[in-house]
Amino acid sequence: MKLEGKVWRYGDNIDTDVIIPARYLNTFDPAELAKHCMVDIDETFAQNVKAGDIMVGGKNFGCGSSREHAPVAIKASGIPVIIAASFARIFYRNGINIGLPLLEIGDDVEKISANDILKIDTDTGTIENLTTGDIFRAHPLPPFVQGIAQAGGLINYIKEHGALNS
Amino acid sequence: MPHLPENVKPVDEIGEIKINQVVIGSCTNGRLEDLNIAAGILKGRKVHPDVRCIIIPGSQEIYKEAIRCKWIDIFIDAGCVVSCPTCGPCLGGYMGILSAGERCVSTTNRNFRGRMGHVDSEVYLAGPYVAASSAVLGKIGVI
Repeated sequence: MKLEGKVWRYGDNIDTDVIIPARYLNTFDPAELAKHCMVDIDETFAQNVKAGDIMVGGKNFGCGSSREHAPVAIKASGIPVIIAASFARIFYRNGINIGLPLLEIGDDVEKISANDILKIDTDTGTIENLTTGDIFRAHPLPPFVQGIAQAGGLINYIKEHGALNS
Repeated sequence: MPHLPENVKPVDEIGEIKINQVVIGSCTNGRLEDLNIAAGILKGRKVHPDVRCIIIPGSQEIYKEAIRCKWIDIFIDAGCVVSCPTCGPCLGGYMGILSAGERCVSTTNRNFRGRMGHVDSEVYLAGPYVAASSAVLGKIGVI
């Protein structure tokens, strides 16, 4: 999957309570969740995010509760990939399950700023910062995870393939 | 300390922090031993008039045993509200949702910004001993 987009930059320990506050968890409609995504730390995000924009965070992105609504809200906002120094494990697995690619690049994330333009190949894990000229390498997504992402999530993948490893 | 579980300080180093709410129990620290500790503090004492104190046993079995042990009587006599085992205030779902500027001492496990209600509220995570003591004192501390 090849992607190019503008960066929304956030810091360390972005937790699921700020990604989608619990007071909006009374729905699982992705479009409704997207209206409130990141609202408690960034009121501008939901109104200004464009399809194809890229979210970049620091360490431990997605920590907190296991709510699948969190990656769903980000994906429904139009974000096709999240890059972070590291991800919290439940968020990472939820991201795979809903078909949202997540790339970890460690301290290199410090070389990405808000509004930079990134060019990303999720198959190889190559991330090019077109604004600064820096090139980073993330661990490429394993083939089965790429398949889930391309299918739009685990449920769609199972519907298409009948099983996870077929 | 707000707004990250790993922000940890000993209770005697945090100064005077007045509180509005205490939550004791939940899935995280709602065991019999936790309720026993809280009952030991609250027996014969009253929750501070400025504080709401919510007790949530971790399971129906624990709830029943706490009734048999008379701990629920102690909690109610102290002025606590006792809930059935459930999710609720921990994630700002319902029951004790914090308003702007309110502070809560809670034995739950997460205290991110806005976790228990308003984005300008604060959650201080603690064990049942500190939580029950703070409910009586009206500020974070130990009896």
